[in-house]
Amino acid sequence: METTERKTTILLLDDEPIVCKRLKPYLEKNGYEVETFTDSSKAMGRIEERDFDIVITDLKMEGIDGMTFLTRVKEKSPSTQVIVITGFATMETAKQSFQKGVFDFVAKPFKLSEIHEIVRRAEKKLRQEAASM
Amino acid sequence: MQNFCAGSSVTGDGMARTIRAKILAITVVSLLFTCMVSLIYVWQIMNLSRMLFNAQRFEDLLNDILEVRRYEKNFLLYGDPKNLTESLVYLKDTRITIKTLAKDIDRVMGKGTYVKFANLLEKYSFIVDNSLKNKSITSEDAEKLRTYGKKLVDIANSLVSRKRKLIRKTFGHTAAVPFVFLGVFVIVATLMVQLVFQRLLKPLKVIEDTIERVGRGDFSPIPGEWSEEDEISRLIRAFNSMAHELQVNQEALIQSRKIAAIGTFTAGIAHELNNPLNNICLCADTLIEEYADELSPEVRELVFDIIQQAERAADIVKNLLDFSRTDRLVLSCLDLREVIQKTYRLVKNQIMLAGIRFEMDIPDDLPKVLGHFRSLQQIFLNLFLNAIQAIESHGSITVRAVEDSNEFIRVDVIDTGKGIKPEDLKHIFTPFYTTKGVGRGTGLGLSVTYSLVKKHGGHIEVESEIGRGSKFSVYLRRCKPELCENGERSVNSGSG
Ligand SMILES: Nc1ncnc2c1ncn2[C@@H]1O[C@H](COP(=O)(O)OP(=O)(O)OP(=O)(O)O)[C@@H](O)[C@H]1O
Ligand SMILES: [Mg+2]
Repeated sequence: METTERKTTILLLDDEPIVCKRLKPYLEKNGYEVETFTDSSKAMGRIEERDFDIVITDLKMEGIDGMTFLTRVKEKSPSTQVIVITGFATMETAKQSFQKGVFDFVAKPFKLSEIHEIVRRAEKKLRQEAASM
Repeated sequence: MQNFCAGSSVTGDGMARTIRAKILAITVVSLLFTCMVSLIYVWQIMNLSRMLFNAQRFEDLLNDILEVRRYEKNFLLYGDPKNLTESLVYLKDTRITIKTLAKDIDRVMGKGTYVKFANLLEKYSFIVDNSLKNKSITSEDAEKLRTYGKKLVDIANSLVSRKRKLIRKTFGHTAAVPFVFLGVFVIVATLMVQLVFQRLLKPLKVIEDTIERVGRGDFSPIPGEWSEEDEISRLIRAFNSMAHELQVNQEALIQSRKIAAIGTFTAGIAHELNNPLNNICLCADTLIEEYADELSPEVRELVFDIIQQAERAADIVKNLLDFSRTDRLVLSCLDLREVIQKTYRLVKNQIMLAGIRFEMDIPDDLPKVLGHFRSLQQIFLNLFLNAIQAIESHGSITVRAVEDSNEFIRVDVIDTGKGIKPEDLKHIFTPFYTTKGVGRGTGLGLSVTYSLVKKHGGHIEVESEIGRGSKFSVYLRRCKPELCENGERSVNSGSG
C-alpha cells in the first residue's frame, strides 16, 4: 500500500496536548502521515497552506472553535473528510455539524481503536470518491 | 380543593347556622321584644288613668253614702221626715252609681260584693221609704237602719282604700317596666358580644396568626374542628385547603429549584472532568496497544483496572450531564409499546439472570405519547434497573399503561421488590441520594428520570410499601397532532 500510494494525510486539532501526544504515534504506526495542533489558529494557518485527506478536530476549544474551523476546512477542500471529537454534552451540536458535511463524530472518552476504525472508514470513502471521479 | 362548596345549596336549616342568620335572628327578636314592652307600657299608662278616674267615682260613692247617713242621723235625732226625702235623692244617685260601677266593684272586692251592696241598699231604701210613709220609725227599724248604714259605709270605705292600693301597685309595675327592659337589653347585648367574640373575633385572630405563620413558611393547617356551616368555618376550611395546595406547590418548587441548582453545578464539574478522564483512558489504552508484549500479566491487569475505573467515572459524568442538560427536547409522537419493548431489550439479560418475570400490559389502541425517544428510554431504563435491584430473589416487574385523562397517559412501573421506607420517599428524586452501597449506586438514576419527565411536560409519582414493592407512575402527555414537530421521529429513533 505504501509503495503504490502516498500516505493518507491527517490533521489533528485538540487543545488537550495528551490527545495529540497519544494519537500521533498511534496513527503514524498505523501508516498515516499525521500533523497535530493544540492551537486552533495555528491549525487554521496550516490548512491554508495545504489540503489534508482527513481532519480530526475537537469542538469545544479556546479561540477559534471547532465548528468555525471545520467550516473553513470544508470550504477550502470539500473532499476532506472531517471527524469531530466531542464531549457528551455537545452531542446536539455534533448533530448540527452533520449538516456541514462532517463524516462522523466520536464522543469522549474514546479508545484508540475507535478512532482508528473511523479513520479507516473515512479513508475508504475517500477512495470510493476518488474512483468515481 | 377539597369538597368546599362556597355558598352552594343553602337550605332553610342551613341558613340558621350562619353567623349572619344568627345576628338577624337576635335583632328581629329584640325588635319584637321592644315593641311588646312599649305596648305593655302604653297599655299600663292607659290602665292607670282609667283606674284614677274610677277611684274618683268610688270616692263620690263614699261621699254619697256618708251624706245619706248624715240625713239618717238627723232624722233619727230630730225626727224631721224632710231629711228622709233628701236621703232618698242620694240613695237613688248611689243606686245608679253602683250599677255603672258593678263590674269594677266585683273586681276590686271580689265576686258577689255588688249584689250584697245592692241588697243592702235596697233594704236600707225600703226602711227609709216606709218611714217616710209612716212619718215615723220603729226603734227596731231604726236599729236596722243604723246597722245597714254602717255596713254600707264600711264597704264603700274599703272599696276606696282597696282601689288606692291597686293604683299604687299598678304604679309600681309601670315603674318596673324600664328595668325589665334594661335587663333584657343587657342579656341580648351580652349574647351578641359573646357571639361576635366566640364565632368571629376569636377565629379571626387564629386566622391572622396562621397567615403570619404561613408567611414564615409554616403551612400546617389551622387546628381544630371546623365542620360547621357558618361563614368562619367555611373560610377556615377554604384557607386550610389553600395552605395545603401552597405547601404542595412549595415543595415541588423547592425540589425543582434544588435540582436546577445542582444541575448547573454538576454540569460544570462534569464538563471539566470529561477531558482528564478521556486522557486517562487514552494513556492506559496506549499502554495496552503499544506495549502489550512488554507488560507482565500483573501490570496488564492493573492497566485494565485503570481503564475500567476511568470508564466507570465517565459513565457517572455521562449521567450527570444527562441530568443537567437544559436544552429543550424535541418531542414527537411515539408509540409507547415500541419504547418499552426497546428498553426492555437492553435489560432483558439482567432480568432473566435475576429470575424476574416481566409483564407488559399496554393496550393496542393506546394513543401515542409526546416524547423524545432516547430520553424516554432513559427514563424507563432507570426505573427498570431500580426495580431489578430492588427485587432480591424472584419477583415480577409489570409495566402498565392507561389513559389517565384527556391530557395524560400514565405508565406504571410496578415491582414486587423490597419497597421504600416512608422517610426515604421524599429524598429519592434528589441527586446523589442512594441507599445502595458505595460503588453500587450513584443516586442519579431517579433524579435524571425526574428531570427528563419534567422536560416532557409530565410528572412522576411514587407509591411504595415496605416488603411489598413499589409503583412508579410516569405521566406523559398524550400526543396531539398540533403539538408534534414532524420529521424529528426518524432522527430520534436513529440515534436511540
Ligand atoms: N423500585 C425501587 N424499589 C426500592 N427502592 C427504590 C426503587 N427505586 C429507587 N429506590 C430507592 O431510591 C434510591 C435512589 O434511586 P436512584 O435510582 O436515584 O439511585 P440508585 O439506584 O441508588 O443509583 P443509580 O441509579 O445512580 O445507580 C435508591 O437507592 C433506592 O433506595
Ligand atoms: Mg437507580
